[in-house]
Amino acid sequence: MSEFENLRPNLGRLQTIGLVVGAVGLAIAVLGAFLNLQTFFQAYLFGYLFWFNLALGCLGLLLVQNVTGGRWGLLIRRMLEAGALTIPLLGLLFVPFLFGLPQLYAWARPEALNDEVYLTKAAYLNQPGYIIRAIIFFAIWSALAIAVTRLSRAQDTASNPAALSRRLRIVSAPGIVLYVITITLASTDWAMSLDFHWFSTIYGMYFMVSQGLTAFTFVIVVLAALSRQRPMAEMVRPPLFADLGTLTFAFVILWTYMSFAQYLIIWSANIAEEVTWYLRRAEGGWEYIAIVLMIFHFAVPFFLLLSRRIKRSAQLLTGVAAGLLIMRLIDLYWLIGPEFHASVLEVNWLAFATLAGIGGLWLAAFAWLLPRRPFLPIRDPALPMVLSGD
Amino acid sequence: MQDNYQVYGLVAEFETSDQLLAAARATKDAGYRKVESYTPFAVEGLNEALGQRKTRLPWLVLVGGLLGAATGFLMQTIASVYDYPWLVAGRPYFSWQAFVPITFEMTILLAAGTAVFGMLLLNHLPRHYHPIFNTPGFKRASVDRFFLAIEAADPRYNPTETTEFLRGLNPLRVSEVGC
Repeated sequence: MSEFENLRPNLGRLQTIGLVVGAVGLAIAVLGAFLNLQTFFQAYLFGYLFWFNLALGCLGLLLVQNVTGGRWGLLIRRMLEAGALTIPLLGLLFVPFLFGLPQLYAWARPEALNDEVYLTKAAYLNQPGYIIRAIIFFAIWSALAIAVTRLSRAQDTASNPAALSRRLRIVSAPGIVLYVITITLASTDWAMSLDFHWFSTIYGMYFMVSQGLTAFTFVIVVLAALSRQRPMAEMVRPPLFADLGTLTFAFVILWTYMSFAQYLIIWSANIAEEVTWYLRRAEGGWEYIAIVLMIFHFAVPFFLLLSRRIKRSAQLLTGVAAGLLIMRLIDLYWLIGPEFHASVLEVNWLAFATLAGIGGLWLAAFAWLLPRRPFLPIRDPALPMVLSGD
Repeated sequence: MQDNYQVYGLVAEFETSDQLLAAARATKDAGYRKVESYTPFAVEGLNEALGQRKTRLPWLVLVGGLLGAATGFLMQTIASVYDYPWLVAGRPYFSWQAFVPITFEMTILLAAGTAVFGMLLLNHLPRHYHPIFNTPGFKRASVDRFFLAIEAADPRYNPTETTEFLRGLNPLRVSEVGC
């Protein structure tokens, strides 16, 4: 399989555009920070979490792929690795939060000490705890991402590639457990604690599914763009897109399951401290966003992805994936926006600046990391079978 | 030979799935339409090689699923809004949130039921007798042999010509099978 040694996508243009958009976006965001610090942090959290979800989704899928194998993962493994390797950059971009916790979180403000509910949670939910946990999370994710990409890279030149596949499995299996625990805690710290009176045990799972879906749709869009180039076009064939489409379908259903399960449980119990979260999202225009999500994050992609014809066509599947990526943005805003704005019309323009700023940098990093290694895991024992089979 | 002896068709036996695939393509190209294959496992591309149209089952399952969803939702709505309105914890009679789990279950039930029974129906099953089992050595169709049958009902079927044609495909043997 050494003929693929030099198969590397040319992403120079994406890297340049990403850097420019990133610099401009962040410059505007910093300008916004001088105008209103609190609005800046609110917008920064939204922009940050979207790209964070994408990177962590890449890591999660990569760990799963290393354990389960399968045609769907082998041809996208290098993209997942490049996505996961951006986690140290995201750690760097997390630093501003450490200086703005009271701007974002009511529990980090002095008046929280007069709140009885806060006092019962203060042992966990405090500023030093938040910061220490964030450091631990990024240490774990970075270590996992670097460990599995190193092993995968070593496999490219290994004399006994099967042994490295085994070692990848051994590292990835406990990695999945760590991923689940850390994401549960991180989503609680960063997003759920915006309303520290409220709690939902399904929240972490909801985040993980969102991450997996974001990563899948992103990979489909990139793969379809790359497969227009010559050597890629022959390798990336309809059955692969069908696999990715089917898995996206599964993630769409899982997202719906998580969202609805949380809603149904809270709706059935009807306890004052739990329902406030949904009441805030049932007024001020947020209720229309919820309806948009039901239709375009669930119903429409559900029926479209039932079709084998759509899943096997790179073009049609990319359309569905791009639509779902936009829905991921809207869902994320629906998740955290109502904690800041009573009405959907109050959404600040800064949210777009931070989204573009962080996104530009992230895409530039991705475009820099991806071509540094062959696009395919060239010595993976399963590769010949995957490339030949229809 | 009995008086009511009727020929079901000609059956060729092959050693490998590749030989069967090649034979299936040749048979289709020769213009035969009432052709069936019997293999120990699913052979990729065989349906296309025989020119068989795609199954209608997915559409039946979709209809079954939609019917299940409608049944589940309407059943609960009619019961709790019109036939037996009962105030539960001050919630509206039409509490669609509470109807979703049952609606989902009914969707799965009817979709899965349609898949199973639709498959049986489309395959004309259950069936107690099929002439293909008169083929000598047919038991190996579920072990390691690949069979191709051309039915006598095919408009192009001709005992001698079709036998010659099948012999030309390099099978292990060709047998005439009676009903």
